[in-house]
Amino acid sequence: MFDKRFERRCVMAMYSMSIARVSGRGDVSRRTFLQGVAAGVTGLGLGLQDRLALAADQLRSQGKSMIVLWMQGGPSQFETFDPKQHSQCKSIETAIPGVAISEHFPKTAQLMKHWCLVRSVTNKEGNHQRASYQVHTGYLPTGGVKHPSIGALVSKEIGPASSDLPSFVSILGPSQGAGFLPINYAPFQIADPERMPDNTQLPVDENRYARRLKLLSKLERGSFERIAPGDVADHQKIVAQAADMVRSKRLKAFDISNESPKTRAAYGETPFGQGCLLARRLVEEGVTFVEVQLGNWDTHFDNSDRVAGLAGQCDPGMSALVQDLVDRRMLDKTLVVWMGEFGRTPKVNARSGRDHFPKAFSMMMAGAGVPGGQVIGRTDDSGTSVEDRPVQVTDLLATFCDRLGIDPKKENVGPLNRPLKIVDGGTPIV
Amino acid sequence: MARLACGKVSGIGLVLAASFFPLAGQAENLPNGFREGIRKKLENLPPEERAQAMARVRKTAEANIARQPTAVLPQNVETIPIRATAGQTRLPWGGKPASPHPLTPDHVSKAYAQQAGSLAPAITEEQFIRRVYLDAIGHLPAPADVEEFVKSRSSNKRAELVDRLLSLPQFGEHWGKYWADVFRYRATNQNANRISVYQEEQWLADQINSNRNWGEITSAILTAKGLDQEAPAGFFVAYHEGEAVELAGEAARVFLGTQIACAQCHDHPYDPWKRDQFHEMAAFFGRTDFRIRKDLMDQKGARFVLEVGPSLRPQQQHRKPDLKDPSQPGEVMQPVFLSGQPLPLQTSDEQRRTALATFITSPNNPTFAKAYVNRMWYELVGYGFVEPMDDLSPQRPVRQPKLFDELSASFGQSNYDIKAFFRAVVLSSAYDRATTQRGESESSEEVLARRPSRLSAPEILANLEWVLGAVDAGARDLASRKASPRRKFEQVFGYDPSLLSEDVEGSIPQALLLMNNPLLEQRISAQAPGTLLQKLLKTQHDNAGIIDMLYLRVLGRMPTRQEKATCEASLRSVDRAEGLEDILWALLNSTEFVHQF
Repeated sequence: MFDKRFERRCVMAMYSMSIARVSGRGDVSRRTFLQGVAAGVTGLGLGLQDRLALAADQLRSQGKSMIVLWMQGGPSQFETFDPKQHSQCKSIETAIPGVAISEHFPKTAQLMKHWCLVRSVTNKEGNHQRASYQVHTGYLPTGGVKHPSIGALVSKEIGPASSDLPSFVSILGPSQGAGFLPINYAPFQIADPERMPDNTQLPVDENRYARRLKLLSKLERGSFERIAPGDVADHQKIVAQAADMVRSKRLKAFDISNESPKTRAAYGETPFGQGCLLARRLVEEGVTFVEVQLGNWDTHFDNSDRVAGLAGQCDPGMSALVQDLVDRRMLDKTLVVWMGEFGRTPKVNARSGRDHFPKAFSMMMAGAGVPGGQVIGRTDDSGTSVEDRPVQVTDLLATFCDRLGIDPKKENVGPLNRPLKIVDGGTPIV
Repeated sequence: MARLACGKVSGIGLVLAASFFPLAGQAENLPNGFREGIRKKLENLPPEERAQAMARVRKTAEANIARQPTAVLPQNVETIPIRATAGQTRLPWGGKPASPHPLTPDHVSKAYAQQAGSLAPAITEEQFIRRVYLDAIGHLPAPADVEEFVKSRSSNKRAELVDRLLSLPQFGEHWGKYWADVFRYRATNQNANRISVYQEEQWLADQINSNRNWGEITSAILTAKGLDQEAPAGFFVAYHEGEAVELAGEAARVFLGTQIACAQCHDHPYDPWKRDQFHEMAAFFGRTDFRIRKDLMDQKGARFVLEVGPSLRPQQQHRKPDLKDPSQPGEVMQPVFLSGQPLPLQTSDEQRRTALATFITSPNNPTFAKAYVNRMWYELVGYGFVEPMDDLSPQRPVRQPKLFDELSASFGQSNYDIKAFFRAVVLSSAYDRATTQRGESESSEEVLARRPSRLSAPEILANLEWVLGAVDAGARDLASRKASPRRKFEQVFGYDPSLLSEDVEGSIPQALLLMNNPLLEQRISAQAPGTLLQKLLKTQHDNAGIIDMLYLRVLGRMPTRQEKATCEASLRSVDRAEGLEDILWALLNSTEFVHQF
């Protein structure tokens, strides 16, 4: 255990030096690299370049990836994973003695040994947009800087250097974009996991398609490029990516009809369930970051009924996903995260709903070496405040980075050449 | 007992303040019986408690007034009498801002020239007609219109063109879609896209086409009540499911360019907004409700019947959640406008929302005109006086502040005339400046030039249909099972119009659609009957002429010599029809096709 960790740190250190070579644009770490060179760091045996290349490849070949199950709208912690007296449902025991969760999650209860449940997330943002932004990026929206989301950051750090599939896929929701990072780290959105992505069949034969692309890139050198060189460059990048993707053999990863009816049924015959299945297929094919959204948790009225309905979609999907990853020996390398932008009020409002409540709420994570079967933190009896181990959003993001072998303190260059850490502050919690 | 008494008195707080402050000196205009009640309550208090209560009220009132932040506030607020009674939509505000210039192109040009520093070069007539067509009606001009406009020697031709465009129904339809997106993209209700029962785009289009002014449109949106079909302006409340906090945040953002939403949970980190102020603003919607009328759905057999209006619990009040102990009901908040104008707690939903609309659209509230002017200047001229366009925070630098003030005052003076503003801006010298891309090395002067921006989803779809024929009708491949072709297209190409143009990026699904969509491919075909290329091949014999026509159709301009040469060269070694198809495909997939510039 110690050795592995040590080895990872070594790779990390080398990796951070290698960044200058690997990913070109926008890394302050280049400075570290140059300082290293200036200080006369030389290798024994292997040349520096060789060692750097080796380190980068090692890191990338670890094949780690992350799946976020995004509960848009802010799920009630009281009817999911932090049941209380005033919960609008019963609680059930789980496979871990002494840990009870909502009756709406019977399958998850059986798999609790893989999950690490955090009941003490605490935050201040109670507005959907702002909180979503913050949880996805680790920064508060400021208007001036568009921060990259964790999906884009992870794709950039550990995604394959070049790939014909997008490294960041968002299923059933928009997720958050690449911010100031290059456009190729923006999420590829899938609106319907049960269909191949739209428009992925070549409209003409391959030779002619190639001819069209060539003509297009020539014409893009025309008068508009003088007006908008940056836009033309970005557009061309996307066109190239789209063209690579439709001609890729790996495109079939998007086709869940290749899965057996039994597997498909296990995930639940819902868009979210099938989205979880697609996430597993994509990760298996080397996609680095997948977000699957389940929306409508904003239960300002009829909290009880609506949460029951949503949990009925959520529980089979997330459980089949974890079980499948275990069966395929992929859970060790795949970090699975369940969370929303905030929790909901302990008090039930006049419309039998619960309102926004960022002060104390729950999230779950599994895989990528996160020790399962444990509960971190505790809220008081009413669920009003955190009694033990408050966990901030930045702590969570630092944890994700740590589990994926990313240095959260690494800096990217934002607008006006301002260095911005991947995660500003925060300490890993597992 | 003492606690109870204080609680009661704080409820009537600022009404009593009338006796201390000219600001609230209009208590006699409150609904009958109201003042009597207060008097009685006061009389019933023991003398020493009465004095305490009065002192408390006075303190609250003072605090409310002292809280006024600067810069984004109405200037003459102290002199504004508060008269919010049922049914009264316009208040006699008195005094107007010092005589602003009328809203004409000449005045805008003059003010712009004084503030602009060195001007970017003017654009050609060809560029002007593409730009103004897209801005006015959301699609490209016909090749014949381009030709005629460029050739015309009339000195008045731009004004004639703009007046013609303003009279078309597409003007309102285009901007109706724009405003619907402004509201929709920040809707709380994730199903907002499906709340088509309100037909909000059509309603907005009708208002704009009949040149209803921005103040009236705003008031209608803020005060709408009733069933969806009867009150189409209710979409705003429905988008946010009647939630007071969300409605307050959005109303402030869209109509006042003021970002207060984050003060919901904590004082604003940079701006002067306090958490109390946010919840006092929210209290204007504290008695507003949104209901799905299941009973009427059965009765009418409609898919959806929605109702917005007063809460069914008439005593409902907006409460500021107690962050320390959320199990407590929270403090009852009195409606107080951001500039300090209070409203009594006993006011009804209608009174509250009517008063809010009045405060927001008051000629004494320059922020209302500024929010509109800043947004429209961004959309039409390509940069904001303040950016982002919906955040007129006092902390943000203001570009060309004098021009901004003058334009806003003129817009207010015009009684928020939407068409007059559009006309004055697009016919001014500010509008016909050449585009440059903002770069890091640019000087501050160049930053103020127009930047290329992505076309909106409806614009791209309209242009596709313009070039290829209607793809909307029966377009199976563009359509998903659930959404109409147009909605589906909007899901792929849509974006929040309040974003800065540099934050709006293309995406792989967009590229895939334009590159590979089978239906588009059918329409690109030179063989299929009735397609653009089939017609062109019938009438035009030389390739050069067809290439000119393709450029005019798809990009609204003639090709440069080099572009033409590239196209002609590409035709040399391939089948002519196929080669032309490839050219059309390339133009539809060019960066230029999806940009305004």
